Amino acid sequence: MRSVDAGLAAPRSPLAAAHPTVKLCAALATVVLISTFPPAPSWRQGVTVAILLAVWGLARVSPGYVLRRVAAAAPFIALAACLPLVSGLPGAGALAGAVVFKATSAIVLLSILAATTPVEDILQSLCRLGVPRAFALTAVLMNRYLFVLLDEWRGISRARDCRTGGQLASGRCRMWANQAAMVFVRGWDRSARVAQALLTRGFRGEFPRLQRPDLGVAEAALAVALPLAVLLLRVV
Amino acid sequence: MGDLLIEVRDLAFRYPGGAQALRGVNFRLHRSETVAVLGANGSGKTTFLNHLVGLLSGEGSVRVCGLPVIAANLGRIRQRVGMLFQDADDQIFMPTVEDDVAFGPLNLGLPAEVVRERVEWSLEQVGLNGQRRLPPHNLSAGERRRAALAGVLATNPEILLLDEPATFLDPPAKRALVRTLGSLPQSKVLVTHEVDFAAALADRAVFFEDGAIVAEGAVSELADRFKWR
Ligand SMILES: Nc1ncnc2c1ncn2[C@@H]1O[C@H](COP(=O)(O)OP(=O)(O)O)[C@@H](O)[C@H]1O
Ligand SMILES: [Mg+2]
Repeated sequence: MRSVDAGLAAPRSPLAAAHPTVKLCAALATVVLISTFPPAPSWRQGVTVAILLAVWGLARVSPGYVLRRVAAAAPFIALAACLPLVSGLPGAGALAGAVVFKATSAIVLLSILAATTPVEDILQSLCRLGVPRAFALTAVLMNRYLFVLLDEWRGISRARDCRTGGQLASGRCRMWANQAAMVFVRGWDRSARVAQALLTRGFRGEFPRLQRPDLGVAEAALAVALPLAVLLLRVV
Repeated sequence: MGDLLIEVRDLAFRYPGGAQALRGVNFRLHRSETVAVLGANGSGKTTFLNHLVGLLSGEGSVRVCGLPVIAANLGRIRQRVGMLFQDADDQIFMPTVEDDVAFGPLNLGLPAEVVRERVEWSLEQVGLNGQRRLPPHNLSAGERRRAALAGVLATNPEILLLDEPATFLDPPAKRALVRTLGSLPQSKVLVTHEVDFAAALADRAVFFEDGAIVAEGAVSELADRFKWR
C-alpha cells in the first residue's frame, strides 16, 4: 500500500503545501505570459530561466522527474521548431529558438505543478475556475477509470504471460491489438455499469466535492507574484 | 411482520435482442428483514436487483416503499434504496475515498456539515477512516468493497441491495463484512453464492433458476436441496 502522498513526486515542499488553485492560476498565467515574449533572444529569457530555476528549487522536484517529461515532449518541440526553419523566412532561427524556449519553459513549469499537486486537486481547481462542467466531469471520470483500464491491461498481460511463459508465437503487434480490443470491450461494458451506478447514487450532472477552506491573503499574493514577475519582464 | 418494503408481482423481462432473463418473479421484503438470493450465474439475480431501483423495467409490477417503480418516482426510490454493485470499481468514481463517500449525500443537497458527519460515520462503520484520502486504485479489493458500502451507507437508505458483496474477499475480510452488515439496521436483499455468508445474515432465502424463483425457505434448507455448498 502506498502512503497518502505517494502519488506526488515532491510531496514535501513549500509548493506542495500551497493551495492548488493558487498554483494552477500562477502556472497557467505564467505559461501564457511567456508565450507572448517576442522571439528575439534577450536578457528576458535569461531572467525567466533564473525564475523558473528558483521555483524548481522551491518545489524540491528532482531534476530527473522534470527532464524525463521534457525528453518526452522533445520530439514534438523539435518538429514545431523545424517548421519556421524549413520555411526559410528571415529570422527563422530566432523563431525556432523561441519555440524551443517557450515550449520547454511551459513543460518545466507544468511538470513542477504536477509533481507538487494531486491530479484530483488540479481537477477541482479547474472546476472552481469555471471550466465547463462537461470537461471537468470527463476529466474526473478519466482520472479514475484510466487506472482501472490500466489494471485490466496488466491483468490480461499477466494471464497471457502465464499461459505462454512470456513467449509469443505470433506477432507482437497482433497480440497488442487483440489485447487493446479486449480492454476496449470491457471498458465499454463497464461504462454502461458506471452510468447505472451514477444514477442509483443520485447523480444529476454534477460532481460536488467537500470544499477546502478558502484562499488566504498570503496564498493569493503568491498566486500573483510569479505571473507578475514575468509580466514585468515582458513590459520593460 | 413489519411493513412491506418491496413487493414484486409477476415480473418478466427480456433483454432487447437477448435472453428472457426474468419470468414471473414474485418477491416480498419486509422491514428489518434480510433475504438471501441464491442461484447459478446467469440465473437473473442482478437483472432482478436492477428492477428494484428502476435501472430496468419489465412487465409486471414492482413497488418499493409503497411507490410503484416508475420514472416519476425514481428519485425518491433511489434515496431510500442503496445498491452495492457486483464490481466495486463500477460505483466508486471520485478521486478519493472521502470524496466518493460524500458523493451521495452531496447529491441529495445536504449541507456540508451534515455531509461531513455522514462521511465520518460511514467510514467508521466500514473501518476505512485511515484510508479516507487515498485514491480508490490504491485500495485492496476488500477495502474497495468497503469503500463502496460506505458510499451507499452515507445516504442513509432504508433498504440495501447487495450484489455478491463477498466475492474476492479473503476469510477475515468476509467475517468483517458479516459483522458490519449484521450491525446495520437496514432491510437487505443479499445476492451471494456463499451459503455460510448467507446463513450468517439472512432470515430466509429464495433460489433463482433460469429467471424464476423456484424455491423459498431457510438458507440451509435450500442449500441442501440444491446441493449449493
Ligand atoms: N446487458 C445485457 N444484455 C443482454 N443480456 C444480458 C445482459 N445482462 C445480462 N444478460 C443475460 O441475462 C441473464 C441473467 O443475467 P444476470 O442477471 O446478470 O445473472 P446473475 O446476476 O444471476 O449472474 C443471463 O443469461 C445474461 O447473459
Ligand atoms: Mg450477477
